[in-house]
Amino acid sequence: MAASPRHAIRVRNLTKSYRIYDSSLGRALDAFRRTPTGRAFTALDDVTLDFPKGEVIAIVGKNGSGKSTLLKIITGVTSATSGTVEVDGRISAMLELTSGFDPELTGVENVYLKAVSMGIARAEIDQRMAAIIEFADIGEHITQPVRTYSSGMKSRLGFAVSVNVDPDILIVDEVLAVGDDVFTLKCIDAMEEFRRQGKTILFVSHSLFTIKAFCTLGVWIERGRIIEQGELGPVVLAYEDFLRAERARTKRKRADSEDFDTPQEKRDIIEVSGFAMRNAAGDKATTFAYGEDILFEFDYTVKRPVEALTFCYTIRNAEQLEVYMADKRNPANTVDSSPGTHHLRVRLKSPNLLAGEYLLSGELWNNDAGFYVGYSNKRPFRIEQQDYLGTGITYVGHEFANE
Amino acid sequence: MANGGSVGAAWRGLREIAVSNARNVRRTLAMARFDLTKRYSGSLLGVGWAVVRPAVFIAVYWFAISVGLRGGKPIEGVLYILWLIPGIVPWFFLNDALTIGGTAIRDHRHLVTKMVFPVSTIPVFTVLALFFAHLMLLIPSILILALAGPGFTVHTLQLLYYMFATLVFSSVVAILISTLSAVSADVGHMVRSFTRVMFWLTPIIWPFSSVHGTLRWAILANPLTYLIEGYRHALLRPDWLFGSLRYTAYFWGLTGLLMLVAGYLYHRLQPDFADVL
Repeated sequence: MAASPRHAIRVRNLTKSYRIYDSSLGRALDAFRRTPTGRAFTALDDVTLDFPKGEVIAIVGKNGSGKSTLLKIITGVTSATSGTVEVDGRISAMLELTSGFDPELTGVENVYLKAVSMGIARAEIDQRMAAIIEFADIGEHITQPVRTYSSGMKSRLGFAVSVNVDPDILIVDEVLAVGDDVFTLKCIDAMEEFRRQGKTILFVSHSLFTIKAFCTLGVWIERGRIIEQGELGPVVLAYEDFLRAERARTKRKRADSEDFDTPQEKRDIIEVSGFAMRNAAGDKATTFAYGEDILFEFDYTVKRPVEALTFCYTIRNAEQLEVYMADKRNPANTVDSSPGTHHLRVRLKSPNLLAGEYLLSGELWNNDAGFYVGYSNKRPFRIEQQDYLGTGITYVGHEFANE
Repeated sequence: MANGGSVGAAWRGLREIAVSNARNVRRTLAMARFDLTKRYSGSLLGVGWAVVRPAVFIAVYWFAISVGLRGGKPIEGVLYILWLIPGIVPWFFLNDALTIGGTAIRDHRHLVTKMVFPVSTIPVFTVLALFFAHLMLLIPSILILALAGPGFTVHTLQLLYYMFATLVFSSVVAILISTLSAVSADVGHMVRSFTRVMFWLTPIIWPFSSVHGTLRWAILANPLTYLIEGYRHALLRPDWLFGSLRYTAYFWGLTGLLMLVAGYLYHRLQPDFADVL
């Protein structure tokens, strides 16, 4: 079962399908039937993934996308329908911090209970008890029944047990949502410490803020399939784009269903479609060589007459720091604003951006009305370079001479 | 389901259950201890309730049946209450093992859905915890019988055998039922109603000698009769083994069959546990 030395977890062609029954008795009766009667539902569909050691991997996706199913299979809580999972090391899973606590037992007794149910020997718990109590930091309450605890105290205790059993792989599923900010910071500190020790953390959270704060890699799962994986930045950006589009779609749907006169929307004036980035050769690309021209193009349809339209673009680095923003009032950037569909192609001439992730945003502006339509929202692209030119964002050329 | 595939599934399931129970004996014992403290902690009397609650029931049955119905007549040469104790004490355990043990997996769902836990040990440690409580009730019962009843004889030793048989039988049945009740909550309710019926259909508060003819066979077919009468036999009668050797073979044959059914069901349903609980 050992994975390759570089990977903590290797997932190959993992598929998980459930059977859904109208009544729970149907499932029990199915055990006696040769052909099952329930309807099949696929939660994970041919997922192949590598989780490298020493990384903090964020798993993002909407509710019901299959994130938790994936974690449950990796931890061994549930089995896959087909495919394999190889795990290298002891897993400590925090699928739910306070599960397994008995309200009648005291804090200390519950530490034993939780550890015993995780299969840890009593002697080992005795050794770690002091550290656990210190981490939980709930004072006198540790000798009181857990039913008297606040939910924050319960999660502290749960987290204290999970991080103090010396796992190689820590799986954290949406647990930081509970507890106060101080506790959240403490958890993040503990996980940072893990990362420093070269341990692997799988992290599921709906808080993209927390994810950006300390994850290094990302996996985006939707409807049981992997949409994106790799460096955190682009994965999160693509996911955010998706969420935004989703929100816009539901908003639009809501607007469509309203039959009274709704205020004019941007898309009733100008609609943008078919945005693409291309390299100098004209092929679609999101990776460019250093100094190579970057092209992008899109169609826009002017539906109602508008005055002068200018286009504008912004380049940001992965930390969202602005690298360059074109002047949106520059009359030189005026484009065709007559009614009808137009195509716009823009060439960014040999930008001296150094290797790394960048984001391209852009809008069409009608400056008189302060009205704009975005054509690209933080679209990620990558610059690669052969020769080392120093660090930073952009190359600053120079000449020199001893005079 | 009577084909080669089913028998194979039953064996595989049985092996899964046996292996994971054998590998996790220490964990099972520790969990049983927690289960016991959990059940009785938080109350003033604590584990004392394991004795007091049944004692109240025994007193009530004694009053209703001995005083009310039988007019204080002795039975098998001893006072009714002394005759009642060795039958009803194992029943209290069997009743709990069927109802509490029968929903053990569902009741400990967090162990299934949130942790990597050897699932087939859950009904076993639950039954084991109940068995500890049973011992707490059994020991004073034996002392009462020894002082007020026929006293200790060499035949009392066979109690150990009947305790073992009871523990094995109830573990097997608990695995079987809790496997079914894990996927369907209805099973738990069904079992609770069923055990209430079984209490009256098993010779617990009435003597087996009062049934005759074919009805005897029906009562003997109930494996609970073997265990209850076994306890009574060991504690009251100067004789070896209740019923015939054939009856003992029947009991173990039935237990073996239930094991296979449990293995089959476990093999079929266990992969669903984490998804349905």
